Amino acid sequence: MSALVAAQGLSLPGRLRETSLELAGGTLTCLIGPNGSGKTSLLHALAGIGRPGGSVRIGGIDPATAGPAQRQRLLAYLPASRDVHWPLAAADLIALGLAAPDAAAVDQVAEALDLDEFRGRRVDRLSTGERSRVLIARALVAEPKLLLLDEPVSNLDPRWQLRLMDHLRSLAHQRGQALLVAMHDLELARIYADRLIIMHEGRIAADGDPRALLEGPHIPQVFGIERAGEGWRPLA
Amino acid sequence: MRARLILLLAATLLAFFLLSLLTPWQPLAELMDRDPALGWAVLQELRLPRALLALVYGAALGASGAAIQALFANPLASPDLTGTTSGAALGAVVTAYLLGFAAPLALSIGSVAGALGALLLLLALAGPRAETATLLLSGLAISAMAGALTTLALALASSPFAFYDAYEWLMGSLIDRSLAQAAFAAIPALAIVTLLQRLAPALDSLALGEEVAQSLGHDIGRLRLRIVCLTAIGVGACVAICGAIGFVGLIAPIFARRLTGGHPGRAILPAALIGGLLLLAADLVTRAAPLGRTLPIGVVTALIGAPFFLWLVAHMRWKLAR
Repeated sequence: MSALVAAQGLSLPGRLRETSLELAGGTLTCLIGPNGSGKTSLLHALAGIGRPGGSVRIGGIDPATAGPAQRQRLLAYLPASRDVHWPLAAADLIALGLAAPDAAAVDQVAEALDLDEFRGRRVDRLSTGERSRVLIARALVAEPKLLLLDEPVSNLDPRWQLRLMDHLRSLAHQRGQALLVAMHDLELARIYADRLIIMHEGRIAADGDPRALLEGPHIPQVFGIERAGEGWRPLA
Repeated sequence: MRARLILLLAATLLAFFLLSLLTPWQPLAELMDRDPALGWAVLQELRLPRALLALVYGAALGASGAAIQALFANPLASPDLTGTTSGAALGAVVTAYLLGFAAPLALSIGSVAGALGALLLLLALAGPRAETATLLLSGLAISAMAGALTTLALALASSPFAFYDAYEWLMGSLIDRSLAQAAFAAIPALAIVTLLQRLAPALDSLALGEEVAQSLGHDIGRLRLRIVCLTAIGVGACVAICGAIGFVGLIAPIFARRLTGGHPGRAILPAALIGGLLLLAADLVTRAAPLGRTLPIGVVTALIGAPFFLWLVAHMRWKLAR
């Protein structure tokens, strides 16, 4: 069976070297790498942001040629920034993820992310963590085949980091969505990732089983850190 | 809900339009009794163009204001505060200086070119996602430059009468325009309102930032260019006929967003309706003022709009300080 997402020769000048990648449905893939290694650029290229080179097919369809409604069912992208430029109500912001109004879909995602009490509140009056959940809900609401999430757990408290990762894993395993999640927390990646991709200097440095990669030579080489008991410490 | 809001605004707009046609009622009724033909002529040739211009100019300012506020992600971006109106006035004055006021098409083209130049300069100076201070300072600089060049062109004018005409036109006036002149403003104004309204989904998604808008398939560069061109055409065409009228493009979108739950793109059509409403109301105020003569409408919108602007700035500061 061919992969749900197939990307050929993706590139962004100065940020991402030519990269090909397949992502299977039902898989949560974590994307790690130091600052500036190209994690966000890979997500951008897959989401069609910044005129990337190469081609992307999601379920055989090129998102660049899809209309707005179809595109929202193909992919969603969550940027690392939590800025919202206008003081929309949380429920209205979530609904921006839908091409046509669908109250049931908004209800469902609001319940999953425990946002019911914030629905009518303006997003500029929420805490950063609460606003993060609203923005994540916007990305999830259309149930796209491919979810590209840039640091979804940053700004979340430890309980919500785990709850969110649980939810994302269930989206992959139960609904068959393909998830590519950029993050910095190696421990969360070890617990939740079905597959791990390590970025370094604008290209994929390693790709495979999370546990094997996290114990292998790539982490010291790429991040400049080494195992120290349960945790990590910077290399001298 | 949204359809009802639009309908309500449209009905109010229609009521104000009719009110504008029939105000003042007394002399019109007497004239209709004495000489119906003359009465109809007054209605058709004096009052209709005036009411129509108030409606379409207000609509163009409202829709343009909403679109550039959405584009710059800033509630203080508006045709006048970004220097677009001054640029249009400069374009028209320079054209008039070269060709005279009697060439309406050339005047419109000159005015649109001036507005376009001002907006492109603003984008180059302040960037597409400007901080409020950068945006306003760039707008101020462009306005000052355009204003100085406009005054220079007027000072070089051959006759003092030309100077006075141009001065009165610059103050903004809807009076003594023919139906043909009104059409010169109305057709582009209504066209740009329709076209800007079609960009609403892209502008709404821009509330989440350019990256998300791009991931949803919107070409931001093209969107920016379209809004700049459409705004320049709408504002330019109206300025060429009626001169510069301030603050409507700032206020109308702010009210409109209050009615549409803060959605920047969805506010475009309501902003157009509210803009038309505001200018019709301001025009009625110019007639009601007990000064024995009609006030320039640009003065009325500035007298109402400037305190509103001050309130807005104070409100934003207060919010930031919190």
